[in-house]
Amino acid sequence: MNDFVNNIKKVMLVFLVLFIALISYITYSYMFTSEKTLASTFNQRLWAERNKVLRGTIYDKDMNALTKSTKISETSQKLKYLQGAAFSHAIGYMDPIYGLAGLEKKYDAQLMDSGESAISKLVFFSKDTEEKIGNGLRTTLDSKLQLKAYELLKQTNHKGAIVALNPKTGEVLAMVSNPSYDPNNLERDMKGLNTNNDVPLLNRAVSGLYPPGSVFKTITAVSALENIPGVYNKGFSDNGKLVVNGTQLLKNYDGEVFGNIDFKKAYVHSSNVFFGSLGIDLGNKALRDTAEKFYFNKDMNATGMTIDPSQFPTYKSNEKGNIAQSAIGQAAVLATPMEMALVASSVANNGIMMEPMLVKEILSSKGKSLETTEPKQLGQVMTPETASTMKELMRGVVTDGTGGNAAVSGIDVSGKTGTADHKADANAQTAAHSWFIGFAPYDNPTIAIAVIVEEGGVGGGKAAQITGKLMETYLK
Amino acid sequence: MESIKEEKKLLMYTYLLGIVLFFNLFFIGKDGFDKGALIMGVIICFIFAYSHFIIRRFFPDGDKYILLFSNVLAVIGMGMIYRLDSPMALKQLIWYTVGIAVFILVVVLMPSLSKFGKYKYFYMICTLILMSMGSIFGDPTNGSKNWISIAGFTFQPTEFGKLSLVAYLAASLQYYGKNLKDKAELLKIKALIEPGIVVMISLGFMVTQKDLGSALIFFAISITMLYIATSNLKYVLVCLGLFIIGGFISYKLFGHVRLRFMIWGDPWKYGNNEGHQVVQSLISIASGGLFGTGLGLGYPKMVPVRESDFIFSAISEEMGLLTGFAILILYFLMFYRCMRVPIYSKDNFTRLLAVGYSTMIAAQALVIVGGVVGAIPLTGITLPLVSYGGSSMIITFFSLGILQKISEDGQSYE
Amino acid sequence: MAKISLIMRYAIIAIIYIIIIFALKIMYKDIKGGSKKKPVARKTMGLEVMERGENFNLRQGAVIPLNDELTIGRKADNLLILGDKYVSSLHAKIYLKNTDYILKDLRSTNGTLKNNKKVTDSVVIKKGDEIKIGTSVFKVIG
Repeated sequence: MNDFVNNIKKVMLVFLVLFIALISYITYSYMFTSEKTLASTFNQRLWAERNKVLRGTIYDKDMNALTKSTKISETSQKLKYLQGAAFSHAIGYMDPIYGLAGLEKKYDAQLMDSGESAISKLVFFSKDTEEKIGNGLRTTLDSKLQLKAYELLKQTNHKGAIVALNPKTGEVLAMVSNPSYDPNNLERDMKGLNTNNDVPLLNRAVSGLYPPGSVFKTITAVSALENIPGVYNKGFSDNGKLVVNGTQLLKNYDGEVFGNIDFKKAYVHSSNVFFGSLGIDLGNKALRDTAEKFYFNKDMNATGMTIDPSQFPTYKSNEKGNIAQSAIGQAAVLATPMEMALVASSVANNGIMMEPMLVKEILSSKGKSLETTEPKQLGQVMTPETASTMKELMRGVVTDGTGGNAAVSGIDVSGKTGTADHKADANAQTAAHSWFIGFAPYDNPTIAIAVIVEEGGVGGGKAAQITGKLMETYLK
Repeated sequence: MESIKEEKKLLMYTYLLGIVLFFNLFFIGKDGFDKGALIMGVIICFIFAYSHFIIRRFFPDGDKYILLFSNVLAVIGMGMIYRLDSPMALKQLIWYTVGIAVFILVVVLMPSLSKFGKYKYFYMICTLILMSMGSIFGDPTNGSKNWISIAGFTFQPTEFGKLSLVAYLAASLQYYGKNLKDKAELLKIKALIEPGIVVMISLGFMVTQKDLGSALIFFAISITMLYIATSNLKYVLVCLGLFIIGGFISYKLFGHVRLRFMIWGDPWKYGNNEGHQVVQSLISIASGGLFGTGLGLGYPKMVPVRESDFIFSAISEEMGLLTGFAILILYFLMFYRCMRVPIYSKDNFTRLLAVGYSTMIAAQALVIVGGVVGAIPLTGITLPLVSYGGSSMIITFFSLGILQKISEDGQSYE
Repeated sequence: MAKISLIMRYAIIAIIYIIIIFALKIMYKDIKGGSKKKPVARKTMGLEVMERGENFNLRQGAVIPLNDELTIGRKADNLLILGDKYVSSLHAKIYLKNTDYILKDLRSTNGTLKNNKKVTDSVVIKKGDEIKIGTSVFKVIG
């Protein structure tokens, strides 16, 4: 009998050891390997947590939805871009594999924020049966304009970009870059996109740096008007070439000779000789100072975008050739389409440059406004008098000058053409970039546009035509 | 008197556990408040109270804790199953009620168990039939071939075979060493040959039916009973050796055995297919931490077979590792109480019977929890009383009923 | 409402461990309190000698206490030795089962009578029962 009891005790001891061993094993593996376990790719819990909130919608300025999120499983959502490639560069993308870009990236936190305040997180007695939806973004984009801009640019079969702004507020009405990509099919296309030499993922509107060519004469003109008294009425003799110290620095397009011209005529007909000579008269520093007023060489804040700084070079006073060339937007001058759109909008806005914004408002999923972007001034980049003069000049470009193709019946379009030479490499014969910047209507302008068609030829050609059509779309 | 007061206090806490659990479930209902949870909680407390009342009133001499611990385990199980799948929880409630009924019936109706020691051959035949049924009629479900369906109900005959095997071993080992105290070793061993063969045949059936978990448990029960009956460590070691050899042979022979070991070695490598269950189980347990995520706040639904085999993982994720540990402690305490029962027992048959059933429950808990946390290769068995499963519940309560009955009887002599 | 689980999980764990620790405490006390302690209050019962008959070692009115087991018979190793010739060597025994005492006739030649009825195998005896073995009569008192 005692024998039996002893046996039982021994068996109990064995099982006790087994149970303790099991508990120890669990404790050990929890303490030492749980981090690795939780980080494993098989752990879907982080995705499920994030997936609890349905991603907010991005809208255009009239509250038309541009994106649509749907939950497809406990751990993932599908984000659909309703307007496809036209909006890719403005909105960006969100992809489980390729991550975030554009507005989707900048505003990711808000889009996934369903508005649960810290306090409501603690209150247990609320019904959590409602679907959690993230905040919405109301952009400044005008869908009709954006789609038209993309269509027109695509039809040229050239690379390029278009930026349209509201000169009074800085709101970005349209921002397009070509080539674009289909944000709904990144899995399928991404590899190709990354190896494509035309770099479709690049947003040329804010990151494309191009020689601005003659559209830069707008800044040179401002600089002259504000630094050289009486320059407006001074006469000038344009014989088709600018020669300094026996060296030819530049010539007019096609070698055209304008003869006796004044400031206005020189601008309207885009005389390189006139402006190159102005450049030398101003000197590199003065012109650069003006350019920097326009935010060349400077970082510009913008709501919802990152704008690459445009560049205006520093030259020594004996580099006359470069100085002259820089005054007509060549040499080492580089500008983004956004920058040039801002130049046009500053002229349209009495000389005040507004900070560009892409996002007007952040709204809760129920439509309540949480945050509004107020228009902000970047600065008075030219005096109102200068602006008024420039407005007149730019109107002249369209009525009498190189920008005739931008004209629209019934609307007073003003602008400036640009035919920017650039060389892909030293020996190639490449066509110039076609630029146009402009605004409309003349009284109380509501839209300012910059268009660049890479290697599209003269500014008065493709770029002007596109601008005209877009003005028509927006204002009619 | 004092002990009764304390006992009542303990009971109160068990009711409290049920109430708190189902209150929690009440609050986390999908569309607001889940009244069904409250109703279920009340019903469980009712059944629990009733069973306790019957046992304490009419059979006050038996062990008091066996029923208590089993109810705690069952209530935790039902709470978790309700959170995972409420219709299933309702079915589990029915099985629980049936189990309790079986328990009470066994204690009330069964005559003194020592009489049952005579039917050795009956048990042997039952065992052999039940073990072989799977191999002959079974159809492969979930990778093991030991399920049979009769009249729409599926059950595992090997589960019932476990019961008759224990009875058989108790019946044949009870006379071991009697009157042969000083006789030669060889004669004693002769008495072991018959049960040895029966055990080996049963193990063989189970391995071929791919039910490796049951095989392991059977083996554990057999050597424990052998040791208790013979007090001879040598036999135990010999059997262990035979088992290892057998295991080795089946490893070489059977692909499914190799597969289990392969997955156990590095479950992450097979995380996408065969190792998926173990990997998800490990992640689930790790995400809970010590205190768990709280009912309804974790993601136990990412674990496959979560209501039966992997219920432990789901519980650890939402109720915490501490609850997981508590469950293991409860199993051990229940084992301890069960093993005390045969000490007061009158004859060898009931002693061995008690040892066998106690070991059955404890070994099953160890094997499945071990498999689910990655300590040993995974096997397809349930966690007794906690997992969803009718046959498991009935068999466990039946064994516990027998144990309770033996503890009742055993009090007549000191 | 799901957040309430954040608080309740602590409550659940606490209650489970309270149950475990409390159960352990009680079990420990039980063990310490003496392993011989009977789980139920024991009634003290005994056999009062009503008629000693031909068993001269009995005294009328004497009380034989009933413990766990009382063996009755002619053989000397019985607890209660009755010498008369109607008593078998191993005649009967009275033992405790749960809360009752059982009188079991051990296949005696002349039988055992409880309240003048022959006892076949075992029967429960209560206070006031009259037991006749051989020529002696006892009464159960408690």
